[in-house]
Amino acid sequence: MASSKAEFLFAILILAPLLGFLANGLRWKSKNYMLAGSIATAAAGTSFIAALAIVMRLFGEGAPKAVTADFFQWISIAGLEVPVSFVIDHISALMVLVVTGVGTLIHLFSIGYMSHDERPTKYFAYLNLFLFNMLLLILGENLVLMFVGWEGVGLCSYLLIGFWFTDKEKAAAGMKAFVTNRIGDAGFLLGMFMLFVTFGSLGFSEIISKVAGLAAETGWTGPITLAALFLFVGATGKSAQIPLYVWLPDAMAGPTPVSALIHAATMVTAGVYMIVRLSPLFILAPNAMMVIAIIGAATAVLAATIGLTQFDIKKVLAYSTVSQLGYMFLACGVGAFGAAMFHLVTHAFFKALMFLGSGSVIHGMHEEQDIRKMGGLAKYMPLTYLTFFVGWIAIIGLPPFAGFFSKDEILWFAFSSPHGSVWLWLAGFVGAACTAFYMTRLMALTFWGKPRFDEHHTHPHEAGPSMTIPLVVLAILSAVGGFMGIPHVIGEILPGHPGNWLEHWLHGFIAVPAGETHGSAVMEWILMGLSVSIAGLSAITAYFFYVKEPSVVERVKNRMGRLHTLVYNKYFVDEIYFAKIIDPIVNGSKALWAFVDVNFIDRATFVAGDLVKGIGSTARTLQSGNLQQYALFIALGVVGFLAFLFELRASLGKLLMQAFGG
Amino acid sequence: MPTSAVVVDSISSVGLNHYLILSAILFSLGVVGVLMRRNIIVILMSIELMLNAVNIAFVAFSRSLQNMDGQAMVFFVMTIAAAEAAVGLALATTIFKKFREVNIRYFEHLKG
Amino acid sequence: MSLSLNDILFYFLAGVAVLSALGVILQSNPIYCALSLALTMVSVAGLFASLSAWFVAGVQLIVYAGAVLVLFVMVLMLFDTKAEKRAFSKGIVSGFFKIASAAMIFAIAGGAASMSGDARFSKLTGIASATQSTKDLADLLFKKYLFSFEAMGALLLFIAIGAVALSRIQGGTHAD
Repeated sequence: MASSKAEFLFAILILAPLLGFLANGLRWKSKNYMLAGSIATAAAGTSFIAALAIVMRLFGEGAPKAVTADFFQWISIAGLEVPVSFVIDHISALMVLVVTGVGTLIHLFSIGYMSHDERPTKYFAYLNLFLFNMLLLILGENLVLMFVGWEGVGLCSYLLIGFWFTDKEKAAAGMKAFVTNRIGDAGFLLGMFMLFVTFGSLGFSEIISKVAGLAAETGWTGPITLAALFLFVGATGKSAQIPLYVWLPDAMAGPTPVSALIHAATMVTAGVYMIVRLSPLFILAPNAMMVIAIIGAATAVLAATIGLTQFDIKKVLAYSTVSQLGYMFLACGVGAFGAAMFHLVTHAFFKALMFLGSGSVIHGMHEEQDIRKMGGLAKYMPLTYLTFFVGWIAIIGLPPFAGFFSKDEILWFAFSSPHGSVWLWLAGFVGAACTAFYMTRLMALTFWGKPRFDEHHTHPHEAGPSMTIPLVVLAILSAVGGFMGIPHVIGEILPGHPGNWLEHWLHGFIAVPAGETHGSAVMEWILMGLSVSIAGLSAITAYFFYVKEPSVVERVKNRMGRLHTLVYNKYFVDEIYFAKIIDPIVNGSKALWAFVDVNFIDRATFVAGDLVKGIGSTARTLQSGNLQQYALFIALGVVGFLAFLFELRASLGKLLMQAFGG
Repeated sequence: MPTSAVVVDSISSVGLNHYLILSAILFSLGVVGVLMRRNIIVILMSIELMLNAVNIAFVAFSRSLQNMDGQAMVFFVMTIAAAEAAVGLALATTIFKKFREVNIRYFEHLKG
Repeated sequence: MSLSLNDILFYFLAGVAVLSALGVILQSNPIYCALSLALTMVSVAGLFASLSAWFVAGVQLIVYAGAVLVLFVMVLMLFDTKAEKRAFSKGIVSGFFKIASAAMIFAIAGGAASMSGDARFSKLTGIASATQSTKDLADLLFKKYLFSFEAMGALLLFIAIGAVALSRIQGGTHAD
């Protein structure tokens, strides 16, 4: 039977990382990074192959629309049925290949990166555990399983951000990520409750089949709108959107491959994936969609502007990630779920590439992350430079690299979709300009120009093959990954007229917004030209500023002193959160501690303790060891027992008298 | 029946109750002795007193119920009493050897 | 109400028993206590006889008044006892409780006995003669209670060994 074989493959796919986690986790004290890394990479690779074997079944004529595997019934209480069952359809197929594929490459990269670390086995165990949870999240057929994975990746994220926990700041960053995610998770839970109350089920296929015939809700308080908004709150936490994005830049405290895997390629896209997964539901809540689009666009611009001013190589990439995630949510918000998925995949390629590239740089520069102390690295690290170059072109959106296709599709839908508007397009456009500028700035400060470090002291070097192979593979994917979603207008002029494969692939799995699209092919060409030229223009400007005339930068900085301070300090969002939310909570808690805790709770426990102590010391005097006293107790016991016995007899006798006498 | 050696007076006013109350008096006196005296040997004697009181009750009931089982029980009680006296006196001897006195409070040294 | 011979015998024996029991618990010299106890034993034996329990009365005289009391007296002689200065345990409150508890036991047991109706002994029919009653008792002991009887024998053997072992200990709680 084919389905049993599918279950077998699913078991391999999901359990391989778990086994890897156990294999490494049970011997976590080992310092053999090569063994630990090999186990973990093999586990991830096994998962990838199993995923590939399953996805292959979806191709060809008469192929099933989805491969499912039911394992067992997990929860079955009062109408809530939660089976442990997994599904690979055309949506999760993309995601599972990205997660296991990119995940395997990053595992491989980690072997080189973590070779000098104190606790490599623990690290690889966490990495495998993350992969396991991510697979639960992606493949779970219901929201409960997804939530289990959702929490699991949150845990692994926390563990890996705070991996070097002896550094207080890094441990605090892990805590911040965890706490911020909790807020989002509460929203996710509320959304789940809302869906269960409304539809009586938490399975994806059931929910989608139940919403199929429904009309779109108009107000703000309908059950679907509320559910969509709550789920989006969960997504803002996990996928770092306004207002919960603050944890992601701090999450760069973790090892760089972790940033690549968790905080760029996979986990942070979980929110987008969840929305795409439930797109038939979200499409029925236009108001929620509007909120998603606005938040996405705002995040895209805000994060991009912060990225302009940062000097930590990973912080720049982190804000870039937040910004790109904003694009994905913008796409979701305008109903272009396919474009969101497309950008998710290409972004996973080029952002993982850039993070790994930055990891290679940091590794080569002996843990230096400040780009002001770099420069001219192109000649020291040619392979890293070359691959980073590819990533750079891909992210700023120059054709024919991956980012161009996906970002342009998002911008086009932001303009033309029935949910879109010119303002959303404009926000994306400004964001694209900023992206091109800060990415070029990053390239310029890192690889171009003259070295700003002591060349006699620091000897930047290219790393070994375990680190360069993933870079090359990801660079190739970043270069060609866009071809799976060639827009129609371009396809028509190309030889052979390639269609939009991705759109075709996702057709029928994602919702398409109802209503007229506005805009024509000419318009699409114009917008495409605009965005490419603004990207090119700002890239050239940045090149001019940072390589040719560094003095201009200083002049501009001085001109816009206050604005620069504002942006450089990330709009003081962290400070505002501290002043308005965290400090009041902490102070309130302190007040509660000083008053309620000390006066009532502590006192209650003291009183209880004293009571027990008093009773004990009183009772202890009974145990004097005086035998005659003991004998007295026996005698009193006899008296009591006899009294009880006769009283009982007497009342029993009375009862009998009443029964027989009366 | 007519050969009975004892004159059984059918108009006797002494009945089971009298024996039982006597038994209760002796038992209570034994209890007072056990609780109040300090000399182990006197305490053992008081215990014998209590056992005797119980024996009186047994025999009286035996007579009253025309059942010999009560007397069999008295036989066992006596055996146990003798055994208990033997052990108790052996313990008393041991304590006397150690402390040159047979006061009950030396049993407090049994306290863990 | 005239007193029959049997009544007089009972009241006499009961009076002796109670008075000598008081002597046991009140006298300060243990030797006198032992002698009072002997008197109690003898009067109890008489009471048994008045209840036609001839065999038990005999055993009472031989085992209690004979063997057990001799044992007591011998141990007391071993200890070279005198009249004790403090024969009673101290503590007024606990003393009150002790006497009160004994009184309550008496009140309850005696009250129960006196309330259980005026149970005069009926004419003896079953217990015909001393020979017959002793036969009946032997019948019970060696048939119905045979196992208990044998177990009692084993118990006495163990007690004899244990008592010898205990008295060989040179004081203290550790054998040496």
